[in-house]
Amino acid sequence: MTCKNLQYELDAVIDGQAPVDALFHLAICDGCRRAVADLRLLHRAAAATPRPVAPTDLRRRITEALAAEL
Amino acid sequence: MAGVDRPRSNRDLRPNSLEILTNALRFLYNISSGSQRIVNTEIEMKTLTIHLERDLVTKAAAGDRRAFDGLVDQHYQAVYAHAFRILRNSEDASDATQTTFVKALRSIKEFDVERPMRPWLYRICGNVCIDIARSRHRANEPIENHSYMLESGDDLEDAAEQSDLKDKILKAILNLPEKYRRILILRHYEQMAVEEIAEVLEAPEGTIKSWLFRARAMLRKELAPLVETGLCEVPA
Repeated sequence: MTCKNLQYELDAVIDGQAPVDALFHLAICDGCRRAVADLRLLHRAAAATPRPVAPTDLRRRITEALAAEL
Repeated sequence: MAGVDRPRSNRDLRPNSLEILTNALRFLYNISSGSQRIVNTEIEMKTLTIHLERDLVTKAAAGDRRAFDGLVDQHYQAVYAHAFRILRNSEDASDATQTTFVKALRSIKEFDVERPMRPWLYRICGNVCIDIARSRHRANEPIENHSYMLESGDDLEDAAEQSDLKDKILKAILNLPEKYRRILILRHYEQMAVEEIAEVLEAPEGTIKSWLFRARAMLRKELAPLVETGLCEVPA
């Protein structure tokens, strides 16, 4: 596997589903290991970002909109 | 005897609630040759959730409005969060969420109950968001102008530096063109796998990988000025 090919497998790597040849490549390629580390940083930072919370009246608004469909 | 009312029975319970509970108990307890086995792993719980959702979807598709309400309860917060991340505006996100569920109700009969519901809802939501964004021309409003409601119980012990990094990454993602913004939101904020994203965007997995590759290349460019000043690492 080449560095360019590995770029398309980065998500599989961080999801723990990397193909074997990707793992072999990572064992010998510092650049790609850094790329994986950076992507993990992004993935974890995004996951830790506070999730937007719906306004308290939204559920009621949805109910009213659905009722109008009757 | 004629004229004698039967005693009230489990019919008084909502039929879908009782059926769901019965199925859940059957799933958790496997009685065989007098022995009981309780299955309690993460995979089984996820399967149970899918099983329960499938039950609600089947009933909703048959016209059971309470079942559809159950699905709304299960998913509306996630749909709102997804809409907000795309539109960056609370009122627009609320409108998008409402419209998403109205459209879902209209087409629930055609939905394949064997599939998970969330990717389908996100697909509807994404298309609704595109329509709203185009009609309101709000693509370039800075995020500071919008009401951003945070979940209660945030970990306030995060260093200000970590919070600042997250803000910078989010801002950089939000500056990308809509297609690439959306795919990064699905992958990193919604934590969806590539195959799930493929379902949401109705594109082959290979195409999704290509788009992710390009989106990250664009994100690197957005973050490059920050890297030069040593404020953050560049994502892959």
